Amino acid sequence: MDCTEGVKMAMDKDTISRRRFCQLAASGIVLAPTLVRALQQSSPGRLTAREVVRRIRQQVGVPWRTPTADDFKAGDPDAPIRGITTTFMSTFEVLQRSVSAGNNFVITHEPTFWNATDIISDLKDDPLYQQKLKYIEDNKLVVWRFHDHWHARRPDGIFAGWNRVMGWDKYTVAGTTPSRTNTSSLKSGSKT
Amino acid sequence: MTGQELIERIQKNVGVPWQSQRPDGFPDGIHIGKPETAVTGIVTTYAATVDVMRHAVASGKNTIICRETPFYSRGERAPIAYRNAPAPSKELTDKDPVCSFKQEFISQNNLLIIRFVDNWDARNNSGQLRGLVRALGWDHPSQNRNVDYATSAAVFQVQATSLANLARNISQKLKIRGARVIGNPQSSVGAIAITHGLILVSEVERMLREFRPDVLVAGDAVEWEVVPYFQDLVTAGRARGLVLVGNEASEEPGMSEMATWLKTFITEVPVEWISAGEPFWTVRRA
Repeated sequence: MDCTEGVKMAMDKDTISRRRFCQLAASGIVLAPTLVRALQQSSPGRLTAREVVRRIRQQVGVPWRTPTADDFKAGDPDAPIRGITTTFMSTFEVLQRSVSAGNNFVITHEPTFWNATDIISDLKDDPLYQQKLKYIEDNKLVVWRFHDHWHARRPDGIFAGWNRVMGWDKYTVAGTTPSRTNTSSLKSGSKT
Repeated sequence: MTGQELIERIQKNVGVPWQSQRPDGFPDGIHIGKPETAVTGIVTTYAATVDVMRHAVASGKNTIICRETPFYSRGERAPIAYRNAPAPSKELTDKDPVCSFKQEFISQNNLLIIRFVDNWDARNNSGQLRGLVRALGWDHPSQNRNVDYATSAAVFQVQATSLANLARNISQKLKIRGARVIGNPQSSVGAIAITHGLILVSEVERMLREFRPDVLVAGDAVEWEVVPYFQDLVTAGRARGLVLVGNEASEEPGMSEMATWLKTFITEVPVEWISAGEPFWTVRRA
């Protein structure tokens, strides 16, 4: 099973309580502590999404690669941010809940516009695309994808979250680091 | 009748110009086995699993006509949308114990594996859609709002019911346990668009625009494409539900239709549909 789907499954509203799901989604389990450290030096009201991403690139521990899916998908990266949501997928509902929670920066593992590279050329006339984009703009949300490098990190951040939720840390086989063979979401037929 | 003669007879009866090539490199025709092999009996099925092959052999049939490829991949030339891995190389199929076991079974039993997909789907009387609609019991004219069997999708108007009831009804008709549903179970639904196999975002978008259904029923979907697309449609109030019955369950009734059709021009040997069976079972959390 793809670990990404695994985390999704563990976070699914049907497999754990909704309250717990919200806690997990809001905390981002593993990603959030890294961000908290990175943000401790921030001056409130002036932090931008672009600055957060700059710090992530400093902290992630692997060289930044190109091409990568890890990029801004919507919103103004230079607008001030008030709070950060991490999520498996920036669905419309997650965006709404971020707004309710006062978070205007959404870091998503998977696409926002329903295809691997968030190509929107075929979606421009799609009323759902227009509605979702308008919601992002109206609420001054910024969406950034964090997929390839979170997987490339050692240990793979998705595996780390999975192992923690499953309680499998104690079964780690010495000398192995959980990781995937292909961390780019851009290749044809890749798992994401 | 040899394998070659069987192919020729299908070509003569299919009613559309035979397309011999497919972008993914697996054209319709004999995939494994010799064209001169005598056909002892024909099985149609969704996928030539080892289990299906054993059933075929046990009933004295050596020819399997299937929709999916015997070695689990459609090939490196497949459109990117289908998300397939490259076609397995000969080296891999020789080295892989599952593939070599299957290959040996095929050789030892002198089986013919025939793929028949594109030309079957190209008929202007979609056997796959017709089979699925018939299996659901929606082929009654009063329910038919806009059935066009020349395309792969149709829309039906059933008596308004809840999404949960609809999903239960579909599961009973198709005898499946692994259907998955997006949407509020209590939503009232009546207009149902249906298609078979994998659906893509562009197809969902088109079906919603053309048919304005409450619910879409299909085989399967890429979990990080159509699935969140549908979640967002529901959140945005643009659709009420998606019922995914599984790729196999959505295609298998069409393979039954194929057996019925083959019998109209093949009388020398028995023709039988064997279901590959729903692959999944589900866990109910205590």
